[in-house]
Amino acid sequence: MIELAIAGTGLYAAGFPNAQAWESRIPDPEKPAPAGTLIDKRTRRRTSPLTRALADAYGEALEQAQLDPSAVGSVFGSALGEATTMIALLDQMWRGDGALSPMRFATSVHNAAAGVVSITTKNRGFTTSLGADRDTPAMALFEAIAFAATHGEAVMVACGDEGSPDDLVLGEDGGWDLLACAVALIPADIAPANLPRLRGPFPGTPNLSPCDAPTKLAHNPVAGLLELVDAVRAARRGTLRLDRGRGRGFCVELVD
Amino acid sequence: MPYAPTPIPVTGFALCNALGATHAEVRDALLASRSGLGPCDIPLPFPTAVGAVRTALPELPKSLGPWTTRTAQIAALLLEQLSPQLAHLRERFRPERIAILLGTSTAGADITENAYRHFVHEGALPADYDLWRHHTYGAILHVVSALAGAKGPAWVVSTACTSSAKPLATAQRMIDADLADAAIVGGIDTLCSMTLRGFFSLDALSSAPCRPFCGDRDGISIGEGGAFLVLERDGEAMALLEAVGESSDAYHISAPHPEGAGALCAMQRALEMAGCQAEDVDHVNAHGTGTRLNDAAEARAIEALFGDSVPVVSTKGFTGHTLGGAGVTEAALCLFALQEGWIPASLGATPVDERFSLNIPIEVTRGSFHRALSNSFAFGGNNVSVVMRAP
Repeated sequence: MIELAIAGTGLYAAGFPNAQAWESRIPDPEKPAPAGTLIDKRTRRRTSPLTRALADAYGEALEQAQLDPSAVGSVFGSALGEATTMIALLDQMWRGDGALSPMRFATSVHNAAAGVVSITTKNRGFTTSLGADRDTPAMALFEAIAFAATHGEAVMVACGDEGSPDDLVLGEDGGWDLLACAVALIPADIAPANLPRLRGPFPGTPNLSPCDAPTKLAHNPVAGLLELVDAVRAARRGTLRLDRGRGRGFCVELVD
Repeated sequence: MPYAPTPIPVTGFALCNALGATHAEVRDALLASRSGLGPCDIPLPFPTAVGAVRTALPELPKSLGPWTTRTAQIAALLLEQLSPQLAHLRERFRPERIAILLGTSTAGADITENAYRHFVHEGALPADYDLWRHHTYGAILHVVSALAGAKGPAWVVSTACTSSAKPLATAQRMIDADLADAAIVGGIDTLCSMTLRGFFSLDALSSAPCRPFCGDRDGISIGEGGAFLVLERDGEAMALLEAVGESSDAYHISAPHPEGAGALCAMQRALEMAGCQAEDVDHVNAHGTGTRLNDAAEARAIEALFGDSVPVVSTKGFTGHTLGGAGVTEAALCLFALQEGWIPASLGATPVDERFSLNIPIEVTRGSFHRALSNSFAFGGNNVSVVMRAP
């Protein structure tokens, strides 16, 4: 089984601007929106909360891993993508005069965050963007592991979804809040020995319990990556499920 | 050491676009230089031509009825064409070792935009609308998995206009890394109002059938449809997927790098990974959208790498730009060159832009085409070049 080292983790959730804040479990009401500090100021104004949250989580994991931002490969995952931007365009179509904002249209694509991050980090390397509903974290890891195994290079994984688009998913589970998580992965054979190792994904049975995430974060479609980030930060080792029981049941194993 | 991928056999392909829904229909239209672009049935406040799929689409089996979308129905049609190859796949490999790697940019956007209009006017979504069965990527994955009997890793790449080219790279990596034995690779987009209005807002939409590489070109025509390819670790190949080069422009969210730097980088990487030189390529299927900027940037990149001898064709004058379905569609069209020894005209290219030093055929060209390269470029500065060769 392919083994990768986890060299960095990152997180943005409403009230928790980074993974360190998440560990404390004390939300900061002064941090209600993602800052997107990785993105240059001019571009940042035009980005969605999802893109900024993904950039925050990505930047934190990247910095911890000390990888070259202009060269590292990147896999972005999201179940619903730029949902807020899409709904804004739908409003322009059906509530307005029908004319769409060109900037909103250009940033409505699923790979908006991937594009913005590659532009801001001047990275001309590999980047992709994918979705698979609640299996998005597991599939993003598959994509990343295949890339790392064949190219022998580090790769970033960042998954995020905006707060539930309640006009389109009426009342489902009470909805969910914005969440973005990231991990920096390095092929085990070139990684420092002290880093935790990741094996999988594989269909399996978890022996780690889900973390104590608030319901509105636990219901986010990419909450499975929060499980991984939380386990790494808390030094928990074992097998954890990447979909919080709502997907196909892919797990990963964390070992020292 | 750079990744030198194993050439992966392509053992089957199916197409559905404005030219038709079978190999024969698509082949006939290409050989006759007959465009599939025509009037748009979606009400719009501006004129444009589109590449609509006019074929009657199959109903989904009753158990999949709640997942019915135009995207799912096109997928069903493509899988029907691939029935023998899929049966063979299931005999050879465990279902868990067959990956489903798709691409789309619109997914179920056509249904969602109509549902949202209902919401705006009636105050509620239509009773039968379900985001998870109609709109999201999991919906099409569920349908393809059920119809094809594949249970391996499955996801949808969504990188705008490279969405269905990138799964070819992923499939090659998954098989090379022994994470899968085979993959159903493809992509589909369907026409919707938002896409048409969006490209109009960018001043990138032509009011008439698009004319890639023409001096008078004035924008793209949107199309719909897609293609599926079957890739296997080994097997009787109709062609070999040699390598896929991927790059980012790192320049602008919706405009290409003016010198085509990212495009050039993707093509160079593809050739390097395939272990071949530019002169080993016999045909380039260009991204060739028909906008002033895109074609100019791509032409510069192709000129820089290939010079003016290799025949460069854009097939978007036939099919329109099928966006998330374009990458795999155009890779599939290259199979006609590799298997049957002909390439179509670059429809609409005359008079070719005088600033381009490219060999752009304006008629069907017959000959020996051993290796082809197909380009796809996208918003976000995402670039993909696919290299395939005859077995």
